[in-house]
Amino acid sequence: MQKHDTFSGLFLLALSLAMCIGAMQLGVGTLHSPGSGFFPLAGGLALSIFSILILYQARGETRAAQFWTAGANKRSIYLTVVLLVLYSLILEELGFIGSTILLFVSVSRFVSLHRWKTSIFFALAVSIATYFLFTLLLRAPLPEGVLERLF
Amino acid sequence: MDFLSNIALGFSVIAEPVNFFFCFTGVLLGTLIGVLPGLGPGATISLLLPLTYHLEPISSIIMVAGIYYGAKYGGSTTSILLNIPGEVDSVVTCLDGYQMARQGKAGRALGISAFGSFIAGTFATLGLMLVAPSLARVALSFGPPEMFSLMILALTLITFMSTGSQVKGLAMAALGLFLGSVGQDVFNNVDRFVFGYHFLLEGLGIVPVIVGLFGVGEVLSNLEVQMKGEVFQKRVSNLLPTWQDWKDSIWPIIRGTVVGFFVGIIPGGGGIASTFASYTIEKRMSKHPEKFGAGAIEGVAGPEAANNACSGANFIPLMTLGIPTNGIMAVIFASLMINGLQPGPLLIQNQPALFWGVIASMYLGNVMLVLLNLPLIGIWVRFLTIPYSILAPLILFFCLLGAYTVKNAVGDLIIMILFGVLGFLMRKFRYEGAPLIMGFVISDLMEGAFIRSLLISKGSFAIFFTRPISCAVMIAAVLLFVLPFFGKKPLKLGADDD
Repeated sequence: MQKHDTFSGLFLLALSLAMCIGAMQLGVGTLHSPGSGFFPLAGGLALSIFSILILYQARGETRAAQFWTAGANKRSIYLTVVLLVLYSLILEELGFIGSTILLFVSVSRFVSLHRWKTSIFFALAVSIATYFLFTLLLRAPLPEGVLERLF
Repeated sequence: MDFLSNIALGFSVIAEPVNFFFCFTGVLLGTLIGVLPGLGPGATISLLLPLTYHLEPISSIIMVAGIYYGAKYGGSTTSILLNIPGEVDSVVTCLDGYQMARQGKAGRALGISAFGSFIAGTFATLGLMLVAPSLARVALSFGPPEMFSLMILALTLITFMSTGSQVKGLAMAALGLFLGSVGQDVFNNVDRFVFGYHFLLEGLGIVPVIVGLFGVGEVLSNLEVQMKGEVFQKRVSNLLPTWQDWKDSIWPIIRGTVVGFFVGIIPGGGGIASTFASYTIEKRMSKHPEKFGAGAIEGVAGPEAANNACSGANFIPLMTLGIPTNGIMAVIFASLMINGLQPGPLLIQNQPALFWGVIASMYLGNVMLVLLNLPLIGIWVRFLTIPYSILAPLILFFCLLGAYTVKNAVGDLIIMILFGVLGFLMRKFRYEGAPLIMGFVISDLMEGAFIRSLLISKGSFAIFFTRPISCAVMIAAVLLFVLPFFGKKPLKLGADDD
């Protein structure tokens, strides 16, 4: 047994306490007329009880937690999360096609380790095809930037 | 007569070209994602949720249902040929299916699994058709206390039957209930946990939460350790089972159908629970149990039938009580809500075309699946060779697109990423996603039922124990909650995580 459950149990306990405080600030009301915080408080209290039980069950855990498996591809995971966040930040500034091309090239090249040529082809094909599928067929508007105005 | 006219209505719905097309698209997509390990029906249906905004509700539900039961057919192909479950539910099929493939009998294993699935899927649809309307009529008499108790039971059951720790499952369900309360409180007109962000007023979006947890979370987990596997038999022939195969398999298929159907009705009864149950029964009843694990055709036929019967029966609690039974049903529940349909006892009465159309689509879909899975097996085998390095960017992109196009809000993308990271951490720390999603989607209904019950009883909790149905359901829930603390968990079968 590793200390995974001790860590996660403590985290959930802290989270549940924050939830309870937030719920109480909303006003719990009474049983006759429950307030906005009543149900969230019940959820928070339930989570705190269950996290204490998780901690109780984890009391036999002795070994230090090994978060990553041996040979884990940590770089890919960090990079993917960063690229996803960057995409969210530039999407409405740069437009759908531009940001999608950038995202695809970066993920294909640096996470999936495809060659530059493949990555660029992949990016162009997917972003332009999806743009037309969504705007023409499904009539769902996508953010417009410099590239969209060319069409 | 009513019954016959309802069936006729169903078939007239599915005869419309658009519905026929979406039924075909659903089962085709289902087979495809079933075959591909690392992309489950939960993630796929969540990716398609935004698309359902643009479709007619009936078409979209027909397609979503097709993906669900279609994935069960596709999953067995990967289990048999690759020894990796294409779907979580197909894990049992690996045991004997892969051994059959090693002995050069892959075609017969695939054949019996497709025919078994067809028989079970068809009978489960028949069962759904017969049971659901009567159950819905009974459920119409349920008031808020009964509904609240049933939801408590559903949450307890889904965690009780899970593969992992029940307490962890319950913790996730509680977290899900809390997350579902974010947004405007309709009872008191108060904003809850919005922190000044307008896009949170309607609550955390179902699509970004589910897509993040199931889609992005799954990709991040798969990126850590790349899946590797070898297709044992690239050319598959002799797909028709022999007379002896049929003789060996017909009873396992029948028993699997019955077991799968009943496990599927129970909230929390996922496909994997039914396959384990069927496998255990067949092994116990077999005259040669030693052959199990070494390529026994019964070990493929029974669980595959159970799996498909279960997927049909899963629709019963959803369509009649409005309670999703597992993680994927919670996603289908969400797609009904997105289409402005309230799952529950009134659904069949108010939306007969939807209910009977979906039933008819299931009959048709099962026929399509046999035709898709057997003659076209060569194509699916080729899909097995698509490397994850190509799939991963595509899945991530569809997640982003799906989460964004619901409301065209960047905030939803951030929520999706946060839930993606949460999904990854939950897999790391062995917490299941299904109870969280289930708590999240039923949170509003549960709060409503709870508050209405308290208003009826003038603030007394006794209302949950003084009404007979509610009391019986509550006692069952309490027993299931308490049981694991007094000894070993009696059922360790597993539930669908995805």
